[in-house]
Amino acid sequence: MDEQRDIELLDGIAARDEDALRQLHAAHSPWLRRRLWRRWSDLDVVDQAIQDTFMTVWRRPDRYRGEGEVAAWLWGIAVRRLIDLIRRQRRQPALGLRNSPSAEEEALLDVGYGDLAGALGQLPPDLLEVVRATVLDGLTTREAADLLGIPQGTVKTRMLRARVLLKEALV
Amino acid sequence: MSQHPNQQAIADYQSGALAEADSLALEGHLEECRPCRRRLTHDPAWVEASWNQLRSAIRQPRASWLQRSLSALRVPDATAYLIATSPAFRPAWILSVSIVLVATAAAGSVVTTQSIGLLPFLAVAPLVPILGVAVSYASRRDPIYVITMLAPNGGLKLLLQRTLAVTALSLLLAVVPGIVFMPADVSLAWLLPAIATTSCTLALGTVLALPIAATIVGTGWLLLLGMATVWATPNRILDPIPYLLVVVVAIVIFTAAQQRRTREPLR
Amino acid sequence: MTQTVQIDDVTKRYRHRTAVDTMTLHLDRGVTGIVGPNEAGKTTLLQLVATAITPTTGSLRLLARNPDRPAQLGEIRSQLGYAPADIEIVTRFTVLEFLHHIAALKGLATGVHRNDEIEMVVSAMNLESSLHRPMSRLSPGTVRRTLIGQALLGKPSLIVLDEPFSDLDPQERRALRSTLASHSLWSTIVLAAHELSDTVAAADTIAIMNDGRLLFHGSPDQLSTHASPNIDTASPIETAYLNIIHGDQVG
Repeated sequence: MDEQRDIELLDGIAARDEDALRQLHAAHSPWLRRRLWRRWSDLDVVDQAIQDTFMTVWRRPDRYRGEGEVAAWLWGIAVRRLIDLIRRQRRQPALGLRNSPSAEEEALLDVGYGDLAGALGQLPPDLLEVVRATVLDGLTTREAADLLGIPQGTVKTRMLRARVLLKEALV
Repeated sequence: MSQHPNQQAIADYQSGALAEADSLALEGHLEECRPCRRRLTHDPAWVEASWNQLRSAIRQPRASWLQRSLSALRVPDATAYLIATSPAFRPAWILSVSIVLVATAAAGSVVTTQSIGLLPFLAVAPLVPILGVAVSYASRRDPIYVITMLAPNGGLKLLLQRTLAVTALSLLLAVVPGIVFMPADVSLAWLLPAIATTSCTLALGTVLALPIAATIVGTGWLLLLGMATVWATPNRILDPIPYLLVVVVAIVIFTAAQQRRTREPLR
Repeated sequence: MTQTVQIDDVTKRYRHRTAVDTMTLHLDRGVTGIVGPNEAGKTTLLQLVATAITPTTGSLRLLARNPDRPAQLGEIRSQLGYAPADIEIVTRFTVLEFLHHIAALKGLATGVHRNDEIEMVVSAMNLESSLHRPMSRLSPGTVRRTLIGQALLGKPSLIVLDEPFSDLDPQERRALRSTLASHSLWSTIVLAAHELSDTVAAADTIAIMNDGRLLFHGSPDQLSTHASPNIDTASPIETAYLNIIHGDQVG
């Protein structure tokens, strides 16, 4: 089967071709579902987040600016849709602007797969989940706090401790 | 990314057996690597069900705010939709009409000689509803016209509902500038002429195409105003009795013609 | 047994011509194809059946009801689907919006029922890839298929299609024939075409018109018996048709 590149599928979606959306959904919804489910165990909420994600893609395919992989862009939408749904369940207030990643966080993202696994493996679970949320999933402090169900202050302090440990491990 | 996870790692990730740190690293890798994404297994039944739900969702028509307001006012769904989607309710139309009405009314408040200042607004306000009505209906030569007239929710019922809605909207759009800018005793002077022009257009529209009927009535109105101004009897224009007579006659003609039009939309 | 469409001695006269001339035609469930040269009166006949115009003289009974009675006319129209020949539509709708619009006009309640009907029509007429595109930007064939589709919404008992095969490529025509065949199980379908072969392939019965008159009404097999051995046998049906028309024009 001839699979089109994601960018071409986004062009198709912009041209209102349902089949392009179907293909994008078929290619990405499985891994998105798995990754979301590891953040939130309610599968109904996860599946709804997937629906909302692709609905957003259908309505605004132009939001993809060509920066980075389409997959990464999709994850950004998906995790935020998940947080919206979580907030609605918990009735949390709406959120502020996204902080841009710090230099250290950017450096962490550039690290190779094998090295990263090694460094992360040295972190205790509470720090690891904060690193996952902020660095790997790209959430703001507030979003991470919502997802993990902990106060923002705790997110920040754990992040600080994690940074120290990761620097030591990666150097 | 030179290093890819091996098959065991992928299998363990999917079954949940993979350590957290390794899972995170794998997830980061998947964002960048399409071949590895394809190595993940998935449940085709779930993908299909998810897609079917998504497809239904994208095919849902989205109700405009107008339609939702009408529904909130207990107007039946299909009627609310048909009124809200009629061309005269498009934002561009409403905006341009409002601008024209406000401009002419404001001009009236600036000019000191009462009757001359009244003229632009008095000329324009009764034209708005007939333009709205003309814009709302497809030409008789348009295939959609026939389909609409033959449909159970279309035909006469739709015509009347849309006409009522468009007229109400037009009058509403004119009321505010009229009251705000015009002298109090004449701020609603245009109302009866507007109803008269609308009913004349509808009556004439039973024998001619609506846009043509609208043009004739609109031109007639402007001529009437022009004549009244030239013959220096502008205030006679505001005498209500002739308009009431015109409205009654027009409604009678219109009603009498509806029987035929409903039976034979293409005649 | 009362037939779905009963046209008895119907004449439709306009100021300068007689479009339909004392026609008697009774149609039942299934597909009936009306063929004839241009100006034969096919469109007028279909407009009469679709209740878009009234006969000058004669009587018309549709779905066992009298269209001259307003209440019965309403009942007929609620069971009627009509696709005119003209596809010059002026609209800002996308195909999907258009179908929803017609569904609303037909009184199909919003919700699952309407969505299922639209779904059925979209797949029957292969409109998936054009669904979200504005109708003003579509090819004539796609507009044609959309117009036929709207006639099928709600599964009406009487479906009137004027020139449905125009603007369609061979694959689309085959798909349409198959759709019509399945709909003809519960509906009476009357279609008009100037193209003989499509109509013969699609129809259970054929009616040939010329100058407003009915020259032949029967099955395609019965039609082929009219073929004379003298004229070229490109196809017996075509020969028979030409014979009938020619005979009418000369006689």
